[in-house]
Amino acid sequence: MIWLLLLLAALQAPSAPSAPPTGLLAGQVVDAETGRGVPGAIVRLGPPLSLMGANGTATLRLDATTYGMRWVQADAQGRFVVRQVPNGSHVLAVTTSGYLLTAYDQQRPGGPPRPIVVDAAHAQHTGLVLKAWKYGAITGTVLDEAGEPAVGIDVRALRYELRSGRVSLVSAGTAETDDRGVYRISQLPPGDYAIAVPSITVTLPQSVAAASAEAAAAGRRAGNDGFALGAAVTSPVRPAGSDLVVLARSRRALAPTGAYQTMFFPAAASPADATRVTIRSGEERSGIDVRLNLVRTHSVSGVINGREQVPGNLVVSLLPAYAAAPGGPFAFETATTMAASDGRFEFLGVPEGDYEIRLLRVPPPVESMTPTSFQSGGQATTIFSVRPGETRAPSDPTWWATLPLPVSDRDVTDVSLQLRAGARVSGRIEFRGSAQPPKPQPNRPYYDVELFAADGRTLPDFTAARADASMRFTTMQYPPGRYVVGVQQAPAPWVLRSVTVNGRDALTAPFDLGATDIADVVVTFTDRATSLEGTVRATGAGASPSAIVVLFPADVQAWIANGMIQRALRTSAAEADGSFSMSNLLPGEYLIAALPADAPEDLQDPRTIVQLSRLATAVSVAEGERKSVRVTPVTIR
Amino acid sequence: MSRMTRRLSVPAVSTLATLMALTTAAAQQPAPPRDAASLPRGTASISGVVVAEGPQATPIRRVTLTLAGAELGPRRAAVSDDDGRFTFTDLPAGRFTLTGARAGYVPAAYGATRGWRSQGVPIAVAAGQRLDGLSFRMMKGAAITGRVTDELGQPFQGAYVVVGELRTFGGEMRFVRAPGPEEWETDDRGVFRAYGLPPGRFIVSAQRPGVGTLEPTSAALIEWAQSSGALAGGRPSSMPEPPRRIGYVPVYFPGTADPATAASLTLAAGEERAGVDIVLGTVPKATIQGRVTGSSGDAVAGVEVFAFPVGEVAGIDLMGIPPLGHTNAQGGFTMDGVAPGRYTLLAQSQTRTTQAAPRAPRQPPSAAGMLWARADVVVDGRDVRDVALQLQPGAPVSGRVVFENRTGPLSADLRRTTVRIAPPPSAQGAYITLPPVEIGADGAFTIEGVGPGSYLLSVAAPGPAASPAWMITSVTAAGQDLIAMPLDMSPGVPVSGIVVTLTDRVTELSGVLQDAGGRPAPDYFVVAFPADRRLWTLGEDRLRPPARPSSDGRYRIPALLPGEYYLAALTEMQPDDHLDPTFLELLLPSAIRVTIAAGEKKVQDIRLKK
Repeated sequence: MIWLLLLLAALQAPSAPSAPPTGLLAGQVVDAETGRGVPGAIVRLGPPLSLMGANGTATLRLDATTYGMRWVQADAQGRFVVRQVPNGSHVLAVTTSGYLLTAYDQQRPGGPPRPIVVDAAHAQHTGLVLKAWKYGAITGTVLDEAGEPAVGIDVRALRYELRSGRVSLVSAGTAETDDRGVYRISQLPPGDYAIAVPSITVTLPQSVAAASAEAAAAGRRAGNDGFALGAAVTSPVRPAGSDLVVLARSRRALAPTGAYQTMFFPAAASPADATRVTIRSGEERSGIDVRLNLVRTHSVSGVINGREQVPGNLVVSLLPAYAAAPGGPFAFETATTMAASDGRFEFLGVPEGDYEIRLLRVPPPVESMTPTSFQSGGQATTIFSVRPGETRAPSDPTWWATLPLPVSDRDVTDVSLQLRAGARVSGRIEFRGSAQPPKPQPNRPYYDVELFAADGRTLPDFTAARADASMRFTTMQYPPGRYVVGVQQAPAPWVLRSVTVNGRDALTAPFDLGATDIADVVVTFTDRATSLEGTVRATGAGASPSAIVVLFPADVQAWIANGMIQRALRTSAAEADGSFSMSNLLPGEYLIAALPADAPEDLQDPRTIVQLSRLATAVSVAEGERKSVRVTPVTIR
Repeated sequence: MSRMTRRLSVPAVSTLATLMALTTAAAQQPAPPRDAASLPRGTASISGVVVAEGPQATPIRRVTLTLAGAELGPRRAAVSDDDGRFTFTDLPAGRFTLTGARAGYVPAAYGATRGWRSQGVPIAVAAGQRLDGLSFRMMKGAAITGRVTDELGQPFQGAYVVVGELRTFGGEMRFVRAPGPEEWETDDRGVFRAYGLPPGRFIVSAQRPGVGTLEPTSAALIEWAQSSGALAGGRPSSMPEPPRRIGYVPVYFPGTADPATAASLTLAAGEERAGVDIVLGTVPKATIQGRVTGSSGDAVAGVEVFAFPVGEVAGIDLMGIPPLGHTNAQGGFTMDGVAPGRYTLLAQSQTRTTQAAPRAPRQPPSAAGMLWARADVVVDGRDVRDVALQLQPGAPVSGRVVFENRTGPLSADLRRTTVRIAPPPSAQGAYITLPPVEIGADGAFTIEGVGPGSYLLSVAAPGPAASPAWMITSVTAAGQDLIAMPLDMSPGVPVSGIVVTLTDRVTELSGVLQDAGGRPAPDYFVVAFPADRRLWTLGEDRLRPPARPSSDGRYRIPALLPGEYYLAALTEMQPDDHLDPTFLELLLPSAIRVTIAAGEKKVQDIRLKK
């Protein structure tokens, strides 16, 4: 570890001392529910939001007041003073124990924070109120079928959330049961939850397990698909008479593995039958007990057609239907296994139910590692690093396969899984305007092109494509699905104008990728930036509460029908004087409205959007226009 | 998101080495590469019952049992059923270790009687043998629970609690973590529960991660801010002196920052100890400020200065990065956020001159250009100013290695003898390791660029470590005996005239270990330790790791320094037991006294009493 320090030290250049900065931030941390100050609260002043300079280089400064975090402890009434704040944009957040991490001017948990700008004109900011929300907690006991405590078992809290208009179950916290079987998941924001005790059976063919054990002993990683077997194969259990080993991580082994199924509170096999647990701010719900039961399990086996095309190990997963569906919880596989070299695979420990077999093999990016040598402390050390911009999208195929699979009361054999390759998207980048178009710069992540799932799900491990010298690009292969295109920024003054696939907008509306490559993508940048600015009208007497300005497409129904692609929605916090601005807009027809900042409205809920659309003001912005508008705050209901 | 998950523990280094030995045994097989599809199989089997410690001997279900051994290939596991029964089938002949694990229970090895870190006793299985009726005892873990709060009594969520034993090895105190995760985290009520603990004596500490130095807000500061807040622009005047910066350091139950004075909690098997409450208060954090100059007093910029805590207890993780400073153009440096304690400040730099210092043959050049400065600093909460660090070239350490009964120029073989100096184990990385140097044709050696501090000298003569051809008989410098005594280097003061004498009359203690029936007993550990108790604090220099007899019962302990020894045999040991004076005391009643003369190859057979 000491060597790491020396390397870090070597990377930092010493700076000349300068006059202390004169900025000042003062205010109070209050409990959002009670309104009282939080004694001894700790506030954290974060560095400017990004350390990356405009030209892509990272600047590290050693001056203690500008580099890294600063922590200030408030007094017994929760009042704090942060002295000597340098010029720049800062994020002030509450990090005190017992409260959710909230930043200045978040008016509700998860609301938009407002950075505080310190400059010559605004050196002192006083009267800052930092609202802090307390955690909620869910606690209970997990017992196994014999009534004994289930020790060291993961219990997960899933929160019901709206994402892009659809109800999703999102991971909100995990806890382990202790030796009495008791778990406690805290740090839960208000909302509805499902509590789950997942159970997964991981099976390996013996040949793969033996090879991994040897590789682990030799200190190498077996396979190149990110499944770090070396550490996992510690205590394999071999079902009698079979050619498989079942991995049992020693702390998790409960039963002859494969005899439990994932259980949702109170005793449901899927979220549809689960009881929602509602948490209000700071509330604790206890007695959320789960009883595990043994179930009959079966095996699912078959063969992967086309296996010989793929080098290395192939992971195959079996997901219950609720996890495979859009909005389903992440990492809830019932079983995973690896295909043997002849393509045969077998899952053990599968209870009755509806499943989907999934296989996705994403090739790793092509990285050129740069060796950098440091002389420090009399020793030469070489570290290999990947500089930003030197990662290339792989040209190897992305292999995928999916198959719905119901399992009833017997083993399933002879499953045939057809391995397929994904499809690529390719096209060109155009620059429209009077400025000189930029040249591609190999070391900068400019105009990297990648695909995002239209339903907002995170795609694992895909690498963006880099344009070549003639401004053409080809992405890696993606499995079939509905996607939108994402493009990294270009150097100033270029801003993104549009992305079209076969002439149709693919930036704010999804397109379908099937089995064939798409070659007609045009990414257009313009040097005429479009922006919107204005004021939120004050309503009535007295100071207006801070407002959030929301901008969304005028064709609300089409936007909702297309899955509420998030890029089309913009929000901006208004300043104390009501002014706001939104830059780098896509030209088009919009609706704009201002909501009170502490309104609980969920902008991911289509009903909220529809209601807003009736109260909002229409505004259209043309390319290159800098529109000014006045907005009246509205309240819903 | 998932703040409540815990990381699995990394066992203490020596235990890890033992576990690694079990897994790498397969890789070290001299057999040709195996066909990966076939695992070693046989027709032997092992079966038994897992029962709880105590007179009731109730069966324990759901225990994961792991069988390991060189002949087995990859390890195998089985899970005990509802009656506690387990079976391993299709086993080849061999010697296997059996370990058991179940969450909430103390990890155990079959046949272990000396605690949870013992490797237990191997089980020998012949080809086709059916070994039934093994009784594997496991103990329910004890638990420690309590609350961590701040000075105002508010609960501390996310504090890290560490539970471990303070043991004395070879003269130094070492902290050995209890089994389980590296830290236990407190929940939103500030409550922690450490479970699965073996019986023993434990100390408990709490620390707050993720927060560095805090600037407290004083009433005066608030008043000033409220008044000058009305000023529009302009420099704020008369800003009051900010109160001293504070921060968190690990606190040991019941409430001390020094582990050596922490309260010891004695836990019986399966006991639950509640009320282990710790108040995590803040301590003043100070600033260390000083200047680094070159040997002629000129300012030196761009030099790293580290402050290493000087502790009495090894194995305690430093929470956070040691303070670090960087000199500016005037050679000045500042380190903020230094907790109270004793520190060694270390500055080092390469010389800028290209003139190479004269150096011994085959000496790597890098060390010659090193400049060092060292200062000891005590921080008690107040700032420490004007620490002067003057860089000096490291001083050379030189001398000769003399081979008894060899005259004239040394053979090429003997010239591969290396001399090395290294900091003592408790120094915790506060020095840069210098590479070993080879000796010249006349046995002379020079180690260049040694910074100030305390070092141990060691010599490695060519030859296999298992049967060395040479051993040290004496190391002297200016008439002082240096074997296992530290060599103190002052800044810039060379040390010369060290004489290391090696002899090829290497002593050896060997013999055959037999059980009461006259049969060889290869499952034992043979321990030889000095009869002079004063030498028990010198660590691994005088306290050798135990020897294991081969299958015919023959044991060998080479290169013991001449003197009086005790020899004992036992069936199981924990790692580091041989370094523990209290353990050696226990061996005395059953030990044999042996005298080793210079160059003697002593044979001492051991017959175990019934």
